This record gives sequence, C-alpha cells and structure tokens, in this order.
Amino acid sequence: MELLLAIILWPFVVFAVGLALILLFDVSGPGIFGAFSAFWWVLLLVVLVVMGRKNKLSGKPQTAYEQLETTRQFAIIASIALLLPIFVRYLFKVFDSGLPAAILGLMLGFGVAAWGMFIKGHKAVTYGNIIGGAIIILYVYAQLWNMGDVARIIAAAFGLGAAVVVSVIKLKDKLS
Amino acid sequence: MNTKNAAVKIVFGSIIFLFSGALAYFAASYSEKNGWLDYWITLVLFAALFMTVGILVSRIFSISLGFLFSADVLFLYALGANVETVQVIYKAILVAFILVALYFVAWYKIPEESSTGSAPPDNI
Repeated sequence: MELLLAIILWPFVVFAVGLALILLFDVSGPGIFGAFSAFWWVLLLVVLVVMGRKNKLSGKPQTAYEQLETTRQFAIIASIALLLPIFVRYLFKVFDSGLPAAILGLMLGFGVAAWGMFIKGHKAVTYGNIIGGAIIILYVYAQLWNMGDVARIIAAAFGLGAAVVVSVIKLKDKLS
Repeated sequence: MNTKNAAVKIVFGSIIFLFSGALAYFAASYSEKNGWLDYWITLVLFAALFMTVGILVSRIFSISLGFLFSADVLFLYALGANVETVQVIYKAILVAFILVALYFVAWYKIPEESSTGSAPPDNI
C-alpha cells in the first residue's frame, strides 16, 4: 500500500496542478482575478522570491532528491492555494451569487487561513491554506461589495470577529 | 542510484507514455469516424484503463509511471476541452474531492522540515 501511494503521488500532484490551471481559466473572466491578470503574476513572483530567499538563507545545498521534494511541496501549495478560491467561485455559481454563498465563502476563507496560521510542522498545508484563504477573502469581499448594505455589515462584522479571535489566540501570552 | 540504469528506466517510461497516448488518440479518432463511441468518451475510457494498468504494475516504477502520466494527460485533455459543458455542481464536487486528497497527501506524505535529510529510495 505504501509503495502504491508513493507511485501515484507524483501523477496525482501533476493532475492536481493541471486541474487547477484548467479550472482557473474556466472561472476567471476579465478584471483583477482574470486568468492572465497582473494579480496572479505578482502573487507568483512574491511566492518565488520568498521561497528563493528562504533557500538561500538556509545555507545548505540541496541534493537532487531534496530539490524534488521541494518542487512537489511547491506544487501542492500552489494546487491548494488555487483550488480553494475556485471552489468558492463554484459555490457562488451554484447559489447564484447569493448571501448564503458569501457567508459560506467567508467561513471557509477565514477558517482555512486561521487553520494555516495555527498548525505547525506541515509547511504545504500552512502556506496553501494561508494563500488560498487570503484569495478567498479578497474575492468574497469583492463580491459582497455589490450586494448592498446588509451584506457589507455582515462582511465587516465577520472580519472583525475573526481578527479579534485570531489575535487573542496568537497574543494570549502577551496579554497578561 | 546507478545513473545509467536510471536513464534506461526514464527512456522506457517515456516511450510507454508516448505510445499509450498515441494509441488512445488514434483509437478515439477511429472510433468516432466509424460512429462507435464519442471521441471524448473513448479517451476517458483509455485514461481509466491506463490508470488501472499503472496501479496494477506498480512494482515496476517506469512502466507504472508511464501509464499513470499518460492517464493524467488524457484526463486533463478531455476535461480541458469539455469543461464548459460540465455542470457547475459536478465541478464543485470534483474540486472538493481533489482538495481533500491534496490535504491527505500534504499531511501524511510530505516530509516535515526536520526530516528533509532522509535518503532517497534506492529502488526507483
């Protein structure tokens, strides 16, 4: 079973990355989140710079196997970060861009971002969740802006509540 | 790892990948021309067959990976060409399923930072 999982790992990762790119073209239209928009290139550049600096600072040359592991980790991070907002976009389409979809999107966005911030030792899940959660939050707030005053109040209240909870948990040692 | 041995395995895996893809494509074109099965359905059936064969021969890495990557390409090609015709709810379910699988892989199979010094397997 272990051998089988090891064998299908790389083909699965390649499939996930390919699926994410295909569905990105499917969901995106014109605007800031469009398929070739500057948003994605800037995000990719930032991620590459951060990962490049991290590798440089570690000072340790990587073996070919370690480079392969790093590449696989990066592919999984990119897949999770892209598929999460794509899933929320499909939720919006299923619920006709209504308030239920927005609330679900907010819960998912803040939920995965907070999960990413608090778990330790699983870099792929951490970075994938934080980046994916941030994109979801940006997208949902962009959609909520057009839904009227009540939706904006809900969005602001949700964001405030999530920020307070996360801050209290992260900073509880410094509060006393 | 013997470099020459690894190169031979990569070459054979690549040959299997290319020929299996070509077989699926030609069979799908022939099937559509003769009115037996739709082009895309034939491709998906071949992809499923290659995935099954790849899993069954998992002991021989190069053959297995050749078939599995070929199945990857066929599935992605069929999905990419027909993504607009699939209903949104099914796309959402597919994305949810792949996300759960990705989390499983990332949680259990990706080595943690403390163990990145582990040696690569010898039997690839």
